[in-house]
Amino acid sequence: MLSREAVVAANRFGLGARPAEVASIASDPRKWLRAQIASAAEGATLPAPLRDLEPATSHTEALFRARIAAEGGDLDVVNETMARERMRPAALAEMAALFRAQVVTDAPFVERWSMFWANHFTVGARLPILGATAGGFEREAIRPHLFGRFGDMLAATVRHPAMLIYLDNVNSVGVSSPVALRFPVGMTENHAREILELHTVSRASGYGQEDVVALARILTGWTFGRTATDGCKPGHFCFIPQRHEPGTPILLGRTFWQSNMAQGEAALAMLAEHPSTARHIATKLVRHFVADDPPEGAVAALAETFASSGGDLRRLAERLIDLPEAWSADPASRKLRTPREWLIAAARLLGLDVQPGPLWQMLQAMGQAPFSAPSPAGWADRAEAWLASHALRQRLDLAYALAERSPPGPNLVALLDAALGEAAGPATRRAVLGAESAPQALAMLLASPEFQWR
Amino acid sequence: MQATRRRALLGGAASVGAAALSRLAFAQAETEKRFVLVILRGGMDGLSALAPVGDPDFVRERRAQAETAGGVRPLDGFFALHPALAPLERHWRNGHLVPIHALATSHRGRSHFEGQDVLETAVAAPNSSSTGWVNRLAGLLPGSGDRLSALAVGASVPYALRGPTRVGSAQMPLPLVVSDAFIERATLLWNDDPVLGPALAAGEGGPRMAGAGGALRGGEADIALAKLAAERLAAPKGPRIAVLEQNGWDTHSAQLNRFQRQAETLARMLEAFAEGMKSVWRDTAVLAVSEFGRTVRPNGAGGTDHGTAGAGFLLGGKVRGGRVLADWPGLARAQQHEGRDLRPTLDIRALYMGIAAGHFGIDGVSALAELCPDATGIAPMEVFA
Repeated sequence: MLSREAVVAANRFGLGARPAEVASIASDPRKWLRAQIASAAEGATLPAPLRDLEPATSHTEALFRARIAAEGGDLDVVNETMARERMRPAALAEMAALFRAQVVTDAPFVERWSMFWANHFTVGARLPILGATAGGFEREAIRPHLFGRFGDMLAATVRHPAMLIYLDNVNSVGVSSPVALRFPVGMTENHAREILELHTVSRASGYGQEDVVALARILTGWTFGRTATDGCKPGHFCFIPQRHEPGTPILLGRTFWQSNMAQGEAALAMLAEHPSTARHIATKLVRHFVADDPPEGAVAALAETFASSGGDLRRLAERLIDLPEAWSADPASRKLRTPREWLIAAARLLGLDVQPGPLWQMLQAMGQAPFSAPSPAGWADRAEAWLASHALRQRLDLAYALAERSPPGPNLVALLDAALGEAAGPATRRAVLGAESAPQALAMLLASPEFQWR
Repeated sequence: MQATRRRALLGGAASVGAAALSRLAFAQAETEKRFVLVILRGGMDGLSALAPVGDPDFVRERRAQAETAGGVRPLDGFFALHPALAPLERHWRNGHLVPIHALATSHRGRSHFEGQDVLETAVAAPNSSSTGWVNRLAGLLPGSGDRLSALAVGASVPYALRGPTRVGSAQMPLPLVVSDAFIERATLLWNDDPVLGPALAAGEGGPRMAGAGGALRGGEADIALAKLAAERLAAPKGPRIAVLEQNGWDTHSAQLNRFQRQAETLARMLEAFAEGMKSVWRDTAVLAVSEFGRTVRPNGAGGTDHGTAGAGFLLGGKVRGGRVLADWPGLARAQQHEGRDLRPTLDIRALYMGIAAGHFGIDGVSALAELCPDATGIAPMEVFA
C-alpha cells in the first residue's frame, strides 16, 4: 500500500504512478523526486518520444520562405496551404509526442516541471504556425533551462520565433529607428506588457504604463527573418539594429545605457533577478504544488531561495520538495487535476496508448484543447476554473470509454494502490473492488473523486 | 447487464439517471425577463466596431485603417457600424439596438486580466471580489434559493458567474455510448466530495445540437453555443440568464482581417439570439462588452495595443434604441486619455445597473448597491423603454 507521502510524490509532484514504479516511490518518496532532478540537471536529454520532432525554425523558415517566394501574390493562399499541409499535421504530431513522453516517462516530476514552465511562458495556437511551433518552443526555450537559471529561460523565450509571433514583437519597430523614418511602421507593446505582468515582476511590483513603453522600446528590433531584404535567415531569430529605437529608456527606475541588443539582454537580466519576480514565481509554484490559495510561509521560503540563488531553478525545485506544506494532509491543500493531467494519469496507470486524433478530441471536449490556453496567462491553476459541470461529466464518460479499451486482466488491487494508495476512501474502495467486471472497476477508479485530485 | 444507450458525451441531463435528474431540474424563476451577456475577451477595438466617422481626428489618427472603413454603415451621421456588423442594422431601424461608446470599467490599467476581472466583478479594483456581477444579479432575481436561473454556456464558468448563487452550465454534446448505471454510481461517490459533488450537480444538459457530431472550429463553435443559449433561454421553464464568451479580440497585429472575422462571428451570435429568442424578444436584453478598447493610433504591426474606453452593444425588444449612447470626448491628441486612448466618459456599472433596474425592475438602493458595491453616486443608465 502506498503511504500518504508516496501518493503525494506520485500524484502531486509527479503525473500519477505507473504500477511498475510503486516500489521505488514507496521506499523513499523524497529521494525518488530528488533523483529525478539530479539526473535531469546533470545530463539533460530529451525524452525519447520528443527526439525526432522538427525544430520550430524548420516551420517558421518554411513559411517565410514560401511567403517570400510568393511576393506580390496571394499570401492568404500561402498561409492556408502551409497550414493544411504542414502546420496542422505538425501540431497533431507535437501534441501526441508530448503526451506520449508524459505517459512513459520515469521522471514524471521533470515532465510536470516542464509543463509548469511551458504554461508560465504560454504560447497559444492563435495561428496554425503557433500550433506547429509551440512544442518546439517548449523543447528549445524551456527544457534546456529546467534546472538552470530562470534568467536564461526568460531570455530564450523572448528570442524564440514562436513567442515573437504569439506576442507580436516580431513586428515591433522603434518609431525613431532608421526603418521607421522610411516606412510607416511602429512599435507594439504586447510582449513587453506580458513580460512584466505575467512572466516576471507581475502587477504587484507596481510598474506603470511608462515601464511597458520602456520595455517595448528596449525590445524593438528583436525579430526574425521575414523578407528577402532584411538580411536575416528566414524564420530564424535576428536582431535588426535598424529597427531598434535609439535612446536610453528608464525601466522600473533604472536607465539602460546599452545600445542595440545588449540593452534588451540587460533589461531581461534585471527583470529576472527582481525581488518582485522572485515573489511572483514563488507564488505560482506554491499555487501549483501546494494549494490554490498559497500559504504565505511557503511563498516566502521559495521567494527567498529564488532571490538568494539568483533564480537557480534546481535549488528552487529542491526547496519546493522540502516544503512541509506540500506534504500536508490538510484537505484545503489539494489540487484538482486539469483535464490534461487527468488523462495523463489515467494513461500512465492503465498503460494506454491513445491515438492522436481521439486524444485531441478528448482534451478539447474536457475544455483543454492542446496548445490553446485562452490567454497569455496560460491554463488556470485553480480548481474553480475546471469545475464546469459538463466538463466534469465528460470525465466520467471518458473514464468509462478509456476503461473499456484498456488491456485485459489487470490486478485491480495493485492498480488501486498505485493510483490512490492510502488516499482511497472506503466508498471508493468498495465501488472499485466490488464492481461487476474489470472494465467497470477501472472506470470507477478513474471516475472516483479521489482520482480527480492530486 | 448494463443498459446502455446513446447519450450525450458532453453535458446531457438525460445521462445522469433518474435520481440525479430531479436535483438538476430547473424550477422556473418568477421573472419572464431574459438576459444574455457576451464577454468580448481580448479588448474589442471600439473605434472599428463603432467608428466615429464624423470626427475628423478619427481619420487623421487611424490613417490607413480608417480609410478601409469605406464600407462602414452609417447610423446617425456621426457613428457608423463596422461593415461586418451590418446584420445589426435592422435592430437599429426597429429601435431595438443601443450602441454605446467611450464606455469603460472604472479600472485604469491595460492588463487583460485586471480588466476582465473588473468587467466581470463590477467592483472598483481588480482582485478584490470573489463574486461576479451576473452571479449577484441572479441572486437578486425573484425566486427561491435552489433554483438555477443562470447558465454558463461554453467550456468554463466565467468570473461573471462565479459566486454563492448556484449556476448551471451547458456545452454542446457529442455522441458516445456510456452506461447510465455507471454514471449514476460515480455520481453517488462524488456526492461525498464537498467541491466536486455540487459542481457536477449544477449541470444543465442542452438538447442535442443538429449536426454537432464533432469538434467545431473557432467562430463556428461560438455561433453554435449562441444558438444553444438562445434555445435554453427561450424555453418557458428554462434559465433566464446566460453568459457566453467570444475570445480573440486582442488584435495587436493584422487587425483589419482579424477584426473582420471576429465581428462577423459576433454579428452571427447576436443574430442567433434574435432568431432563437424571437418568441420572447420583448422580454430579452443582450449585452456585448469588452474589458477595454484599444489605442487610437495603429501600432507597427497593423494592429492596435491595449487602450482604455471602447464600445458596447445592447439590444432587445424593449431597449430604447435607435440612438448611440455616448458623451463623445473627441479624438484630438489633447482629448485622448494619456495622449493615446479614447477617454472614458461612461461607466460600465451605470449600464449594468440600468439593465438591473430597467429590465428586471431591480431598482432598490440596497439591491443596486449589492450589484455594484462601489458605484455610489453613479446613476443607472436609462436604456429601456
